[in-house]
Parts: sequence; C-alpha cells; structure tokens
Amino acid sequence: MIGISKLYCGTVEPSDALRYGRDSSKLPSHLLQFSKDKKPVVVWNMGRRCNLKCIHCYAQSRDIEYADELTTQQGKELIDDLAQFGSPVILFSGGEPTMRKDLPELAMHARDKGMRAVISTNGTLIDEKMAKVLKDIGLSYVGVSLDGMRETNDKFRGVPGAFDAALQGMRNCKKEGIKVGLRFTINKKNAQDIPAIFDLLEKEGIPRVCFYHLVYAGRGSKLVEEDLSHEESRRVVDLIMDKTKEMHDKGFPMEVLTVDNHCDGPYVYFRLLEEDPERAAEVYELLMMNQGNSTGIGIGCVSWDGSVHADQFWRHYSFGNVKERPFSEIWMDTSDELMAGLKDRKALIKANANRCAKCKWLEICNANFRVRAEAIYDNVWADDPACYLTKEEIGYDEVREE
Amino acid sequence: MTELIVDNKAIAFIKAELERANSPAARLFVTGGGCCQHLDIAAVEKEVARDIKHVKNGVTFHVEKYLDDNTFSLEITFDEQREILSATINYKSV
Repeated sequence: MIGISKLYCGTVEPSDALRYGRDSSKLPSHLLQFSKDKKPVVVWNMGRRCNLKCIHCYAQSRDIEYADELTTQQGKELIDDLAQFGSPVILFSGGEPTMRKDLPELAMHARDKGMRAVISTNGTLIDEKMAKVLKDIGLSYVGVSLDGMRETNDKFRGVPGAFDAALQGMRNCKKEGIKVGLRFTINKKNAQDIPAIFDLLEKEGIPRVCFYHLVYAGRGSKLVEEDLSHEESRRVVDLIMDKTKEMHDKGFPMEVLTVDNHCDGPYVYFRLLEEDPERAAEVYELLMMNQGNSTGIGIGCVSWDGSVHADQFWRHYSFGNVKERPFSEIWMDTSDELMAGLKDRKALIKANANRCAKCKWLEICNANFRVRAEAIYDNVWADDPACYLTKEEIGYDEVREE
Repeated sequence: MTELIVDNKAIAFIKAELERANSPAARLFVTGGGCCQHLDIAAVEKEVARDIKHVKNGVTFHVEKYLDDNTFSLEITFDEQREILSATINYKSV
C-alpha cells in the first residue's frame, strides 16, 4: 500500500480528526507492535454469497446459498482468537458481507474485544436503514468498490444499476458520518475513467480512494490479459499523482492510495527527484520505513469455510482451517514451507528471481506480490511480472555476479 | 501534540525492545491507509523526515509530524494480559 497523497503531496488524511475531534475517545484504541511481534490485519471473507456478478471476483461469488460457512458462534470464536492474538484490524469481506444477517452481531463482538472493525462492500445494499446499522456497530471504515463510471462499472459488476446503487450506499454512509472510501481495481478497460472518478469524489465530498493494481488470482487469473502494460501502469500512476496534486491544490485534499504493487513507491520517489529533490529525500526515508509486501506477515485471510490463506488472493492454497485449529496457531506454524518462505523470503528471491534478486528496492517492496509470480512463472519466488520499473531504476546492472 | 503519556509498564516494555534492537529511539507513525490505517511503532536510529521529538522517562520518541500536529495527546498503555502496547489518540478538532 503506497500513500500517494502522503508521499507526493505531504499530506495525511485527517479524517479521524475531522470526524471525532474532541470525541476521539469514542475511537477504538490502536495496538502498537514492534515489527518482530507484528500480527496481521485479517480479512475474513465471512460469506461467499453476493448479489453482483463481478467478472474479476477472486471469490467467484454468486447469489446462492453456500454450504460449510462458519456459523455465528464459530465466527465469534475466530474473533476471540484474533483479539487475543493481537490482530489490530478485522476486515469483513465476502462475497458481500452485508448479505450475512449476523454481520452487526459479529462486528460489534469484534469492537467489544477491542479490535478495529472495517468492511469491504459493493455498497449496493446499504440503504438508509443499513447505514444506521453500520453506524451503530461503530465500524472504523466502509470501503465501497466501484470499478469505473456508470457504464464501465456496471459491465464489470454484471448487474445494471450497480453504479447508482453503490453511489447511493456511499451517500447513505456519509450522511450517517461513517468514514467511507472508494476502492477501484485498475485494468485496461477502466483506466480511462480515473479522472472522472476523482471528479465524482470531489462532487460527492468523499476524500478517500484506493486504487488497486490487478492481482492475477481466482477468476482474476483470466484477466491477466486485461492488466496494463508496464508503460500503461507508469502513465496511470503519473495520472493518479497529477489528479491527487490537482485536488490538493484546489483545496480538496484527498487520501489517495495505491495497493498491490509496491514499485509505486520508488516510482513516486523518482518523480520527486526531478520535481522536488528535498522532498524526495524525505520520501526516501519514509519508503525505508515501509516494509513492503506483507502477504503471510502483516495481512492474512480466512475464507467463508474457515480456510486460512496468506492473503485474499491465495485462495488456492490453505494453511489449515480455523474449525480445526485456531488462526493464531496456524499463522505461527512455519512448518509449512510457503508460510515460512513468505515470512522470510529474501534468500528464496535471491536464489530464484532475476530482476527482483538484483533490485536495489528489495528491502522496500519485499519482492512485491508472490502470487502473481506463481501465476505467470509457476514459481512463487520468481520476479513479480507487474513490476514496471526499468532495469536502470532498479539498479540491475549495478550488481555484479559473485 | 501537547502531551505524550506513556505508563511505566509501557516504558519498561519499549526500553527492553529498543535494547534488543540496539536502537536509541522509537518512532510513532500512521501506517497503512483506508481500511487498514492504524498507528504503528518502530525502533529507529534517528528521526524521519520532519518528525517531532518527545522524551518520556528516558525514552526518545520521534512522532510523525502530521500525527503530532493533529493531536492533543497520545496515551500509550501496556496490556499485561496480551503483552501488547495500545494507544489512544486524542485528536484536535479540525
């Protein structure tokens, strides 16, 4: 996750301060963990069912009942274990999490246990009543997915009217004072909508957007050909920086993040080197604090059926099931080669990869997304094919073979 | 930020962590963003960018400037049961 607004414009989104001000005692406390003790943010795909038919859905969800999902009681036991373990945030996802009737009960249970609870939703089912429910739960954040403006989004979502319903859902959240942000997965068919998305957010007064690079997994694996070329990725990241700055300069500072491609960090740095070398030096220091991809380390995933995955894209590989063993035990069990490798991957990268092995930014990106390497090269420890930095930018020829 | 409050058990825990990491200071900063935004702590050699320095009971804390600017106080406590630090932020009204 790269904070474009923070790195490029030097701003930190003050939403908590705006929302709570002197009432910030209402906010759940933050867990503070030194890196060696860091516990993961856990995405719980609490139900597979969804009312939309997104073509890139990693859960391949449909609007049907699925068997073997965790019960409410099993969900509470999972939350108890995560809270005791020290996971700082639980992200309720799906399918569509608002289709599970016990979402409020489970989210409040997480809050009562001191966890920060957030949801990732398509937003289409958040009417005024549901928004009030979400407000009462005390969610820290509601992320709503939109993958383009009306025509583009509805084509991706597979349901006409999805755009308008999601936008209304965001408006309902905003009206209730819930922190809401937009999630946008970039690909060849929607990149042209990015400027309009910024304009939409400005018009709606929603100062928060996460742009996700495509990760080839689940149904998304059929979308490899829909991913941007390296040159297109560079142009898109430039466009996102330009629009972020434009909004900042016109008095509408937004929190803008890019997710799932850590080479965005060095790319921002290179641009600042040309535009503002003094700020570039600060950004370099900030990037050095970024620990890069944290699949299997700082983020984990539990499926609807209780399977534990390295992140939400590794659905084809399970480390175990919370119905049989607590998440905390599964997560710390490094007898699994993939779990051990993800937690301490640099030697494997050096031994298997080409560009990543010689890249001077390896400490900053932690070799980016391993699931993409596996999808393209059938080798978890090969290069991430989505890294768009040039050989010169990664210092490829600066490293001599020993 | 006008006040950084750190309880004695938290100070002892942080001191031990810094000794283990052979680092002279701890950095407090906002990490992640969007749904995953949360406060973080790291053992560091020196301040980063425009961090603000605070010293509490012999421990040096470098607080991210934007966090420092937007808060009245930040209170760090130690949860003995889970052996985890937790922090409560008292934001300024913006």
